[in-house]
Amino acid sequence: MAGLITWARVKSPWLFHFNSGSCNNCDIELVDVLTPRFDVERFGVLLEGSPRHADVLVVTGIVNRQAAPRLRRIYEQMPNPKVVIALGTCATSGGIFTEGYNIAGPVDKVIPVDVYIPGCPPRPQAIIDGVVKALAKLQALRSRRG
Amino acid sequence: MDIGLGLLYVVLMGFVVAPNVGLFFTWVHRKLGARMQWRVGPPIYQPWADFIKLTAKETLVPATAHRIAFLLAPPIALFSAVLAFLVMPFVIRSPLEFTGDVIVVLYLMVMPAIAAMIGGSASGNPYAAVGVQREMTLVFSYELPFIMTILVPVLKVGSLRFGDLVNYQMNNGPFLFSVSGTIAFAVSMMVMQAKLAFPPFDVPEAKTEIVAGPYTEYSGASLALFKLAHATMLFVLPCFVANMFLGGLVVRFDDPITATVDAILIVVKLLALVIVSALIRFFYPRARPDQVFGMFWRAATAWAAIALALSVISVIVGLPYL
Repeated sequence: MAGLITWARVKSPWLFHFNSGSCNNCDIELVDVLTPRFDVERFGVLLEGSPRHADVLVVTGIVNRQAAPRLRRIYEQMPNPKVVIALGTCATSGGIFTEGYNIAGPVDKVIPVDVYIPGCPPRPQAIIDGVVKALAKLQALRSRRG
Repeated sequence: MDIGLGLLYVVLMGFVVAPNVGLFFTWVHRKLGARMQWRVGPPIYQPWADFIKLTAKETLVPATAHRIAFLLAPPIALFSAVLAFLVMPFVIRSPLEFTGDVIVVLYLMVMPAIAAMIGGSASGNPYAAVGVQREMTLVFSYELPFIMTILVPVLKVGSLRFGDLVNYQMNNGPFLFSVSGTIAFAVSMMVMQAKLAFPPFDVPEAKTEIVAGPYTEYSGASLALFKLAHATMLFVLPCFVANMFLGGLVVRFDDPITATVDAILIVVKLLALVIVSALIRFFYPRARPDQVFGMFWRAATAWAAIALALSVISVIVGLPYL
C-alpha cells in the first residue's frame, strides 16, 4: 500500500510556480519545460493554478521584502507532503542582488528548500534534472510524513 | 431481480466500471490533446496515479470555510454521477430503471455542478466565489436547450423511460438518422462540453483568470473525489447521449454475432463521443462568460426549438424521418 502511494507520488508531481521578484528569464525557461519539445506531461508533471493542488513549489527570483510574507503563506497553504525547488541563481544564492536594500532572500532564508537549480537562467534539461531529484526527495519523505 | 444481484450490479457497475472507464476517458482526452500538440503525452496509468496521489495527500480545510458543506460537496458530486449512471442502460437494461428515470437522470447530472457551487461558496475564497457565479451562469445557460433536446426523443417515443427509448431505437433505428434528431444531437454535444466545463465553455475553472474556480481551496482527498466525479461524468454524459440519440448501449444476447456487433458498437459510440469532445476541447480557446451565455440562449436554444418543432410535426403527421 505504502509502495503504491509512493509510486503515485513520483508519477504525478504537480507544480506550482511562484515568482518572488524574478526578471522573468527563469519563468520563461520553466514554461519552456512544458512545451512540446521537452513535454514533461509524459512524466505526469502538470502546472497547477492553486497551491492547494500542488506537490512541488517552484520559486524563481530573489525574494524581496514584499514577496517574503506571501511566499511563506503560499508554502503554508500547500498540503503535505511537499517539496520546494529554488530555480535560478537568484533563488539559490541571491546572485547579483545579494547586497540589495530590499532583499529578504534567497529562498532558503524564508522557507525550507529541498532542491537548488543554479543557472541564469537554468537550461530546461537542468530543470528536468532538478525535478527528478525532487522526486527522489519525495520518495524519501514517505517514512517521515506520509 | 433479488436484492443480492441488485447490490452486485450497484457495486460492480457504479463503483468499479463507471469511475475506471471515466478515468480511462480522461487519459484518452489528455493523450489526444498531447498528440494534437505534437507532444508524447501522459502514460496510460496517469489518471490513476493522480487519483492515488491526491487521496494520500493532506486534506486542508481553510479557516474561513464552512466545514460540513465544504467536505460534503465532493462526495455529493461523485455519488450523483454514479447514481445517474446506474439508472441508464449499459450493456444490459438497468435493473434499477423506472418510469420517469430520464427526468431523475437529468437532475442527477446537474448535481456535480451544484456540488461544485456548494463547495466553492463554502470555502470562503474570493476566486471560488467568482467561479461559483460563473458556474451558475453556465448551468442556467445550458439547462434550457438541454431539456429541449431531450424532449425530442421523449416526444417521438411518448415515454420517459430509458428502456422504452432504447427499445424504440433498436426497432426503428437511432434518432440520429432523423432531421430533428441530428439537430438535437448536435446541441446536446455542445451541452455535454459545457457540463464537463471543457473549452470553449471552461469559464468556471479558468486557470488563467480565477486560479481554479470553485475548486481553488480543495486539496487532498476532497480534490481527488471532485476529479473522480468529473472523470465519471466524462463517462456518464457520453452514455446518456448515446442512449438518447445513437441507438442505446444495450447488447442483444440472442446469438453470438449480434452480441459481438452490439458490444463493438458500444465501444465505437462511446469512443467517438469522447474523441469529438476532445477535439472540440483542444481546438477552441475559452469564450467569455457572456459569449457562452449568448451561444446557449440564442443559437443553441433556437436550434433546439427547431428540433422540437420538427419532432412535434413528425409525431402528428407520422413522418419518422423528420
